[in-house]
Amino acid sequence: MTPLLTVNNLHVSFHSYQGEIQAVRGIHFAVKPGETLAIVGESGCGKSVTAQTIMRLLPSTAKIVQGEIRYEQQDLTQLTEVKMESIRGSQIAMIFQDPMTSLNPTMTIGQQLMEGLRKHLHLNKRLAKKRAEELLSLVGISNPHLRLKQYPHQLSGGMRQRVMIAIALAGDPKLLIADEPTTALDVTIQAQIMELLKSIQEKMGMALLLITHDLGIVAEVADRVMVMYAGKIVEHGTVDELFQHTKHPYTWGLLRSLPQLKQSREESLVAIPGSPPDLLHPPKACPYVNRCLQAMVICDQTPPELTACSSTHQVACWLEHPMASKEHENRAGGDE
Amino acid sequence: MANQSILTVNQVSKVFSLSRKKQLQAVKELSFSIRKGETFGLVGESGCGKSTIGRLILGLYTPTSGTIRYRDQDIHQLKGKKQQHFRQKVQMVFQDPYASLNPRMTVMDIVAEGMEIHQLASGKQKREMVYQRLEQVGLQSDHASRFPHEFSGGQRQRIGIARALAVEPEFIVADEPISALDVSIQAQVVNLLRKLQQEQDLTYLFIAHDLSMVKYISDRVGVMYLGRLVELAASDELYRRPLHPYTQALLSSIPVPDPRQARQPKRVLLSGEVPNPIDPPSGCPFRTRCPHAMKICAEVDPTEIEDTPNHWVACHLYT
Repeated sequence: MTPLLTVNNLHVSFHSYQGEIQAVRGIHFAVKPGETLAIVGESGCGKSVTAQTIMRLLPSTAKIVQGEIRYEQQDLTQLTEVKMESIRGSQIAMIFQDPMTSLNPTMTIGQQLMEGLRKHLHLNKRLAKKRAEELLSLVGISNPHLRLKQYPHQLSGGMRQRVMIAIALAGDPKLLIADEPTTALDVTIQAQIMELLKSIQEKMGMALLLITHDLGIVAEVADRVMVMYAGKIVEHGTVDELFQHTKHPYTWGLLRSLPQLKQSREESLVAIPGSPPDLLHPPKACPYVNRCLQAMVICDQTPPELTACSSTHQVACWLEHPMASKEHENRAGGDE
Repeated sequence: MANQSILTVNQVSKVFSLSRKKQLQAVKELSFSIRKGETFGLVGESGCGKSTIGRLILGLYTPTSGTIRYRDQDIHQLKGKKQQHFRQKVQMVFQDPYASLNPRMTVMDIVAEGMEIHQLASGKQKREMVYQRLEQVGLQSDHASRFPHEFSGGQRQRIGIARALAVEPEFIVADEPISALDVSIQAQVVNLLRKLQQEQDLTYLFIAHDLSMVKYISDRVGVMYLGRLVELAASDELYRRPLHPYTQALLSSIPVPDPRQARQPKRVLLSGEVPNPIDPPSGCPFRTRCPHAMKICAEVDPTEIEDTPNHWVACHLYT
């Protein structure tokens, strides 16, 4: 299947008074039509910057240093702002983390929802209103006729996130980017919203690029996963490969630092020591070397390339080199 | 010794007046006790009153009714020296490590401030104690001359913990101490809290919304919903045999980081959202979202009953 979106060797930097912060440092990936690809990583790993770059919503201090983003024979990094506007919303849509601040407080739900419908689908006012009501029912909002006249402050957090999803769906996009869509919500509401996103994706057949730090959510909804660390992809594979045949020590560390519900309180959590590197002075070799329990001499000298373990599973780690000791393969990660 | 309670919360209610007519009942007739040396976890969603109870215990709020007793003394009646002693022995670790440290003070000043107020040490001895505390929480003594902005989130949370420890407390209220931190750093801070508990015989009230972490760190867990304690049990018991429909729903809402398990349908998905606490439903607060709601639930507020020894639940299904 031809990919819907392809990102090639993308580098994004921010300019600050301290110097250049290299937020994204050469990533490659592709999103196929209808699939769910999750990007996981901790704060500052570049996952949100990647999403903003695809949407061309980067702040003015940021710059795409090199690389291309292909969407249907076009390079999104080269498009003019006017052309980009016709893609945003109608081809690629985005929902944001914080439903409190991403809706305009001075506009009614109806105005915000109909804006996209009239602009992208060129509907007249009556049809736009009808479609807006349909969209609100689709995302599970009762009494849509009344809700259209309400303002964001009259809705709860979960409701606002549903409205955000409705707005994103208005242009019937082929790709939906969801940047931490449930982080600001309570756990029971989070379950509702993830369930909603899954069912809508099935109904509309769109691809979902899900950005999150929660490996539990990834396990539940994603088809494929990319783990980012310090602006690079360290591991990339299907959900089963990543959770059951974990290769990268960082992925393994993330999985182990979560308490399992059946874990006894006598065992301590396996924390990852240290903290992520400063991207003002990004490490030249493997970015994880200072926190890695299996670091070798080469890890501090030469950056590991992404190498394939299977046709769908890639990892950037020297442990995968044929000359590396294979002791680590015995660690917990696969089926014990 | 093990069963000696250090803190007793008895029928405590807290009502906030929002305007002349509107009142918000944040906490309603809450009772529980915390034993010396244990970790008591409180979980619930935003607005359930879990932070309010933390602040009531610290004496930052005065209860509308009911009493909170620390070592058999009503903490809201304490005056003078006794009050100062209480404030030394009960400390807090805050949620947001960015907002809870004064950006204009050095780490030395932040950690030493409590020692000065309680006149525990001064001069060279005080500095030595600060260094000791910093090392205890996994920082270095030369960090003392730096300012909070020079540290990462996890390190700042360590500074916050060092500040709480500086005055030799017995009881620490930790209000969402890890929810602002990244996953890999959360485990570091939780391991640190447990190490300190063993070393210094501390008692914790651990307030959080992350159930898997609360289960892991706590000996006993209370589940709150709309200002009420709906279930209370030992943490293993609560997770093995949740009784209240809300606890069951909360547990099944946790996303499991295991794709094989995640694909099995198991969700008790709750419909609807938490009702507005200004205008709570009659009877049981959970009945509007409860899959088992009966007629009686709308009429009578369920009282807590002890279903099996030490497992308390407030639900009409068990009466």
